[in-house]
Amino acid sequence: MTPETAPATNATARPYPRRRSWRLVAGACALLALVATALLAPVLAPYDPLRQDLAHHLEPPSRLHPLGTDRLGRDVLSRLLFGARLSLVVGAAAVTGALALGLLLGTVAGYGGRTSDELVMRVTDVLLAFPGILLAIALAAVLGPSARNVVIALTVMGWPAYARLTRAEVRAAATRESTRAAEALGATPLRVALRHLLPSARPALVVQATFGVAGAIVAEASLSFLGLGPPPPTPSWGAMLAEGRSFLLVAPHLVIAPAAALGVTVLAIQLLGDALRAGRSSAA
Amino acid sequence: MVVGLDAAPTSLDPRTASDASSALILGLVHRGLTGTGASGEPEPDLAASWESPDPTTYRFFLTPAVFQSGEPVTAADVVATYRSLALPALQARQDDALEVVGEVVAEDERTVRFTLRQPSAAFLHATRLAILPQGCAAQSDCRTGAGPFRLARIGLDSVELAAAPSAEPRPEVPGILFVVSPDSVSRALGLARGSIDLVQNAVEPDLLPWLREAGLEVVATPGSTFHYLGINLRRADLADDRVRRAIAHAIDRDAIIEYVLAGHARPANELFPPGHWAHADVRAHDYDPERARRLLAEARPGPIHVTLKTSTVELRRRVGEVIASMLAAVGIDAEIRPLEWATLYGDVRRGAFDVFALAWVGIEEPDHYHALLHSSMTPPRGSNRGQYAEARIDALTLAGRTVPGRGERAAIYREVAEIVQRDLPFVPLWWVDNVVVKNRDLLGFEPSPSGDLRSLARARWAVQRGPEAS
Amino acid sequence: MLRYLTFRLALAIPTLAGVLILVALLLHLVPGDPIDVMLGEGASGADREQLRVAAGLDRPPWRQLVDFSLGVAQGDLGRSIVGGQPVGELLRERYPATLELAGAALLVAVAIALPLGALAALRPGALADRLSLGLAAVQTALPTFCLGPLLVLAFAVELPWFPVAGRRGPSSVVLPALTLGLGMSAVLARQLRTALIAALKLDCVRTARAKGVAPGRVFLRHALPNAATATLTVLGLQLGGLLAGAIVTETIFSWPGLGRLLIQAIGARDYPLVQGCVLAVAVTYVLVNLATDLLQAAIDPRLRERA
Repeated sequence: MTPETAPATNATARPYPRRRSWRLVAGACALLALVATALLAPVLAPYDPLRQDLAHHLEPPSRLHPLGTDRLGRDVLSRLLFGARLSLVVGAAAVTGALALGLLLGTVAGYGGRTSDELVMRVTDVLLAFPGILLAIALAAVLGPSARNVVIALTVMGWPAYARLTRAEVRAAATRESTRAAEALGATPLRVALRHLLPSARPALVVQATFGVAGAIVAEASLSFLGLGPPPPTPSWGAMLAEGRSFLLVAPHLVIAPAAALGVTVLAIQLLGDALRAGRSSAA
Repeated sequence: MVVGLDAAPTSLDPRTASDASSALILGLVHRGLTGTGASGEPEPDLAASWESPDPTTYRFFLTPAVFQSGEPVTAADVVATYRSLALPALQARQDDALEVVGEVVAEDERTVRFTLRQPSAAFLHATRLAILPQGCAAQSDCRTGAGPFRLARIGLDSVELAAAPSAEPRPEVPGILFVVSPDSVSRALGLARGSIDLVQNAVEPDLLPWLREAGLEVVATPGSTFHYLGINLRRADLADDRVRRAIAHAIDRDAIIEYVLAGHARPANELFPPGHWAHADVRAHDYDPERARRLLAEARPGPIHVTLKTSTVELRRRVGEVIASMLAAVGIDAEIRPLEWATLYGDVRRGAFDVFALAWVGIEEPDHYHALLHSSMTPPRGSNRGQYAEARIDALTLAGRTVPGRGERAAIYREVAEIVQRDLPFVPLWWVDNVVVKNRDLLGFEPSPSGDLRSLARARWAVQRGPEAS
Repeated sequence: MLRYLTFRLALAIPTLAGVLILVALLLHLVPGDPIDVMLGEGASGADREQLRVAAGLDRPPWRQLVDFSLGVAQGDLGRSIVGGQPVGELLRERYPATLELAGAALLVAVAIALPLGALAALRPGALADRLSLGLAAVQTALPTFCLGPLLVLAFAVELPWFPVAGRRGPSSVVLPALTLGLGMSAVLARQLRTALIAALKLDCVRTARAKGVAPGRVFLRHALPNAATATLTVLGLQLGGLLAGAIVTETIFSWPGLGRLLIQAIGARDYPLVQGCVLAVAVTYVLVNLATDLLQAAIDPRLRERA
């Protein structure tokens, strides 16, 4: 996985194991299916996700409503399908933003010398010690509640984690023989970073990011409840989870549906992430 | 006996407590000169009787009663308590009506005379203020009272009361433990497990059947908590009363009460419920979406867009969503904005809203109409957040403060209620019931219309419990 | 070493200052006035002004912050606007509860993640690996606010082994710690697995194995330390998050910790109390960071030369 072992093992490279490709295929398929259902929600959903039917609230799954109805009589399946759009977009956007920012600043901190390290570390310290809830409330109050503000809040609160991970790995990688060799041979810092430092950070970042997507979707639930986030009645998995848990004791299907959707998403991303991580190495 | 609260009390001194949890606890620890009766009228408590020889003089005659410290309740204590409200260190939250009090004098051991600067019909209601012992009243955090229970131990998330030996009659339960359980599901589970014996007005209506199945008893009585929609009358389209009437006709209150509140509310058309002496029985704005659409078409051609601000309490948000959907059905595009409490409150007071959904809790005195509707009582002075200004209302609410007779006051406030029905400065929704979920073995508890827990002083267990359970 | 420690601790001051300034900025930006929230309607204008002055709210925000900082330097954290109690006292009451929950949750997380992650790495694709994958999916799909009530239903109501809520007695920390710890363990297990898989491929590990060193020793002395970097970082991050981030768990279980105090203080716009809580959390966080960095340096000598 690290450059210095690559030459040693390439000579004995084995044929592409079937096990790994299974993960890649499964993960990719699941993810594509999720994205497809999200895009096709208007076609697939049997009801208008906003249509209330008070007289038939909290009904368990039935023929009319395959996943039951929620607190206001809305069809859970339809809300799940439409909710996929918002949740997947929020999850992806928040993680992408945080990852990009964190990667950049973490590399600068880990490789760029003492001052930039301390500077970046202080900033991450401040942000990590800071109660994110307050930021969320402030954003909602000043900019108004919306999905975009959720992404902003999650990006601002999320990048320090990626920065720290990157920095830790980059620092360790910077002391390796191969890195020193490359530096001695006159490689530019950018090249060193891209070829020697970042690859060692990749596995940890991939894991963090895969959980980050799910985490972002769930964080959106708590934020929606505080008034930040797409205001009701826009469906999202996070909001469905948060709303449904009040009725956990009498209507568990309200929680099971979005939780299952979330679980499948996390699984798919994990599989894909695993496959990507293992892809460039020579053994699973 | 364990009572579950949804929020921690903010203060245990009755002069500074303003939240519901504090009120529940302190209602058992303290007594005032008067209490509030079933119909909203003041009734004797520490004062056995009173007289008012002229509109600015009130004389109260105290019953024999004893503080939890063992000292008898005397007129001097009453004087000290009322005087202490002015203590700067105390930061007391006092009833507006007490502002007119000029002088408080102890005429003898058992008689207190109040002299008001001007006549005030609302004064009597304000004498439910808890009476504290003299020495204690001089401090900024007094916890001794004359009620049936005393404050025994204060924990981080709990308040323990013990039956006061001085109480007459002595409570049958040795003590009450109030625990703070902020999560609604957790409260329900606590009830099911038996670690909580009683919860009032803090259970999701949809969980009531589950709780019944778990063996608990649900007791609901009509209450006076008044839910309404506040409207910003400064907004051009909302200033048109046809639009406001359309809003009122668009809401199917019966459906919301039946399906969202599990039947535990009564549709309201005015501030005070039936049974209250100031109830005026005005005509309702029935659910009539057709009429709403017609009114809107008359008022303006295009669609109307409003934001509906609510708190983040789950039930309130849900009700808000239903109302928004009902408004949409008649052509008013309503966007829900659930806001965290301080933000919501700030916005409401600043006038930064179109429509908001809130409730008045524990309003028993119709003088409240003054703070609500008088044109001068806009925030921060009062609660006229929608900026309603109507000369007749101004005159009526002022008159109601000084007219002494109950019958005459009722007539004044009937007219107020009728003008409100016509103008709709706010849209009345419903009065929620007081819903108590309790352990079956807890007997003798009767919910009170004002929502206090005073009858716990007469509660007892069906089965004798061992010494470790109180 | 001592120089490094003092250096790091000195650096903590700008961090804390940064946090306090940011918090003060946001608090004053947000609408909502503590006196208004506290009084509700009914207090006359005069009362309000009196209270504002008493709470020191008539000073400009920057002045309030400076006064607060000066107070902190002397050990006085001010008084809560709402209850009037000294902030220091409120923090002292709640800090132990937060520590107890954080510590217990950490224990649960490591106890689950260590064996699971290690097994998953040693046998990729086998049962432990799939288990860790499944666990990860389930854990993230079931956030604490759903998991908590489920655990309570199972182990406090149906099987009355533990109390439903509250902090009373040693058994009351079990369910909250499980709720928090299970969620943490998922990420931790996966991180450890990933890091170990990479570490097991390193030259030094292969060499050790080739030399015939016992597998256990190889694992402990060669593989694990190399995997420690990322894992420790994640652990440090989670710990930091535990302090104020356990808000949901504290709410569900009525656990009297700092998280709930903070959220209540924010809701009441109780500036001194918010600042006090944030300060407590930030200080702990800085110390945890320091410990993590030191631990990483202890395990990986190569990191020491940068210190």
